[in-house]
Amino acid sequence: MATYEGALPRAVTARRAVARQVRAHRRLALALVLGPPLIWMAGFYLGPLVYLLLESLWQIQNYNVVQVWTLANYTQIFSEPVWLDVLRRTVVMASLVTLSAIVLALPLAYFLVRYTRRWRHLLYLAVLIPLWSSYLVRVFAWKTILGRDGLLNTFLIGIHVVHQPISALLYSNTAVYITLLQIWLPYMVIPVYAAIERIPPSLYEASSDLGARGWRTILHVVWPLAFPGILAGSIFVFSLSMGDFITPLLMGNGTQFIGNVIADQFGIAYNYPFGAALAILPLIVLTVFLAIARRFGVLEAL
Amino acid sequence: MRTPLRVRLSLGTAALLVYAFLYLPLLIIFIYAFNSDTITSWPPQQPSLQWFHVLFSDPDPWTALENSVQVAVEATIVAVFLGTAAAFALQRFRFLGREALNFGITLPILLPGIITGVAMTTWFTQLTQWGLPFELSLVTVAIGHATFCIVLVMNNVLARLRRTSRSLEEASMDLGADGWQTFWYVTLPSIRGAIIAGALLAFTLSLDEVIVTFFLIGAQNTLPLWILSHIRQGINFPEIDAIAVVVVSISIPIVLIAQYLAREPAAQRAVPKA
Amino acid sequence: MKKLLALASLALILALSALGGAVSSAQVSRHAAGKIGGPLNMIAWEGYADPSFVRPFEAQTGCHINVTYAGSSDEMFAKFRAGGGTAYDLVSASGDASLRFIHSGAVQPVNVSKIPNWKNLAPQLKSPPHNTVNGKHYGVSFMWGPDVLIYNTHVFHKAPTSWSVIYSHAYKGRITIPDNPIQIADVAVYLHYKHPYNLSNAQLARIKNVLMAQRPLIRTYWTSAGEFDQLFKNGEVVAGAGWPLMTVQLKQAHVPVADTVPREGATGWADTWMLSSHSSHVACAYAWMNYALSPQVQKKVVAVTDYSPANLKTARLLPASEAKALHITDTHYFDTLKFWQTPPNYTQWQLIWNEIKG
Repeated sequence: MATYEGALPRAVTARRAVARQVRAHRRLALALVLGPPLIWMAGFYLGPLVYLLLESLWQIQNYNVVQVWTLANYTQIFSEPVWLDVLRRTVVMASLVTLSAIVLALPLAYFLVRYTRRWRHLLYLAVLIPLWSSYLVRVFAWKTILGRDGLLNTFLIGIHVVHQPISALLYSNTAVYITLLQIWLPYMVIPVYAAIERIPPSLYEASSDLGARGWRTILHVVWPLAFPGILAGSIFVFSLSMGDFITPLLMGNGTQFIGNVIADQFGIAYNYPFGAALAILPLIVLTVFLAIARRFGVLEAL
Repeated sequence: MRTPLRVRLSLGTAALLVYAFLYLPLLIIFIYAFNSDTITSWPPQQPSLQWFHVLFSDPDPWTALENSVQVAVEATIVAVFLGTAAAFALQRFRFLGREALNFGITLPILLPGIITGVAMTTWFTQLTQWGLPFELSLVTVAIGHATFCIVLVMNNVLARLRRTSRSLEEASMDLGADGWQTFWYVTLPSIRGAIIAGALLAFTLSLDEVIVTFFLIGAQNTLPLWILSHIRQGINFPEIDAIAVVVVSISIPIVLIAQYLAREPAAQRAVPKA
Repeated sequence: MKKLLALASLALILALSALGGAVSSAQVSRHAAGKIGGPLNMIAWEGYADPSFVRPFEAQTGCHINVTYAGSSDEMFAKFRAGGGTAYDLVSASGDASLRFIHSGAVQPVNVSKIPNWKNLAPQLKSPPHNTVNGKHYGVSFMWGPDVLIYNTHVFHKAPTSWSVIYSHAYKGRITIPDNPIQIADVAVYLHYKHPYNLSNAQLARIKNVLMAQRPLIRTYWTSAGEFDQLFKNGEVVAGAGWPLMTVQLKQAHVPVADTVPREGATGWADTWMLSSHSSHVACAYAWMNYALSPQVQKKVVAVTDYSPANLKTARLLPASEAKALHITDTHYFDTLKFWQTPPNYTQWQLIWNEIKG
């Protein structure tokens, strides 16, 4: 490679000398590029997670956290049934929300990909717009919709379906379910849409040429190809639903989910070690979920 | 093969219902922002701009918004640098633990925010006890946000790098440009769209983040936390509807621009893959 | 074109930030020649940082108050201690949290000779065991009051005479109580137990059954005064356990409510302003403590909260009937309230509470 260094400014020459060194030592280049993000993640994510694990083995004495080893937090979780009840309830709720999100997202994504052309991009963005209005304000808006004197009750009474307002619509697990579904649904639509969009149109034609009608195409062509997207969306929705403590706080009747009990230990009960032990529970659940996802090669699709 | 009309109609209706479900709360927010009622029962009584007057004469939400923007900008800048670097590391090099790094950087956004929040808050407490300057403040919030924003930039840049052919870079070097010039004039323009798209996504996510912020903040407020405390105090609800209207109105053009910028330039699409 | 768009979005973001800065600085009054200046961060019960008395303080001293509200003593303690305990200067701790603050080293002793208004506090509130340890004052008493039964006057034409209304199926799904383990003491009072904060396992078991039976009757457990107000305003509940503050707020919002202390008696609380051991704004903190204890300011706090002031001189500033209703100088009434304390087996209370919520 010819260079005319004699005619170049000193800054450029110096820079090129450094660049040559860097290129020559590929390791140095790697260190420069890999170092900062690695150090950041180690210091600000791995460190905290390890510390959380350690903290779950410590205890509170005299209203302060002391670094005295104990398994008491874990024995407490397994000897007092309320904690595993809360975990079970949260897993059930998160699963319900996730499955419902799949049911809602699939037809929408399929419709957008197959039957819209000009407006497709705008309609897709229209799914994302609710994400940019404040999460809290959207949750709060559901109180207006589901309340005793709210929109839904007024509507139902107005069309004479019921004569008394249904109080179970708000401050109940139903309210938590509806709200969680609406809030996190776009996170299912995004990967499902991306997955279905990647299906080459020719596959549909090939499928029908080979004699498969509508449903069979969906089952044998669309579903397997969309599955990684569905799984990716499920991870997001499941994880977001599992950890959400604000929606149950605002929409529930005091029934606790795992996010609430963890947040309470840190923000109210001031028992950090016990809170850390509780936090390990959803961590385990999600690690299992992620391990399953890896088997399907889904992490590539994220 | 033409799909029967009834299938298209039913799919279209299903899609419409999903949109209605997604937009119902937004509709409520808009209606109540422009109404004089303070209680949240239906129907609202009379249209009014009074809550916007209240909003613009109350200093607290604006201080909170300023804090939110400050945190979002700081987090985005860190995420852009670290995310781009990580994308290059993963795409251009082979090293032990590549998969693990990719997974590790993605983890903050896969695990529930509460785990990130409680882990980081106790970690910062410990660091403070060791004398390091990590008291809970807007800085710790920015650090927390940056940590889960890195993956947003990284994924975007990675996807673009995979589609970009290296032949242009090689041509540039052949023509006498050094590494830095090649990077600045050839590589960077081709990934600029991805960086911007990732950065704007990171910015938007950081602006509305509640859970991690809840655990990492000191005595100040970001906008979402101001909204949360306002909800808990139970006063002047339509004021939060009003500020939600303001923030949405500003977010939409920002993200539309991001989407436009994230599209591949036509020239790039014509280049064959290496 | 793209560069233009990128610049445009950057401009939009900067505009957003500038807008925030401009509006906030236009509104926040700049205190010229403030005597002390600087921020003062506090955690307080709702009603304790009302603009009607905060703004004059800020104008006089130049100290800018940042308040974070909490809905329970536990929450106050946790928030105050979070992140090493350096974020806040002052906390308005009730008697069930104050000893926790003291014993964990989170608060420092205050020099009451620097707080002239302390001399005029009711005698039982000058050096009560919940904020004075070994003769050292760890704060100054501020306000006190009962936990009352608040009810909708359209539903209850006469004031209920017993706490049984909130345990009654007649009002199923229309009741709210605080989300706070200390509520166990209220059940103890309802069951006529003599020592509501020192309960045996058998007593706790019976209380747990009462609370479990009550669970389906509860619309939701409130965690802040604002939430309590919303439940009444929206017609979701008709009766609840709350504080006089909520009655004031609901009446201002034209909701027909009143409050009462039923015949079984009530629990109560006495709040102390406490100073953080790590505070870097001590001058402002002392200024606030003296200010908050002055009769004129205590009168304003009464107007906002309807709580009873600790400073006896406040009685002279209020109409006689109101002073009487607040029992400012009535030590007999004071002695009938079962003030919040931290029970020795509090972790057991917390566990029971978690089991009841589910």
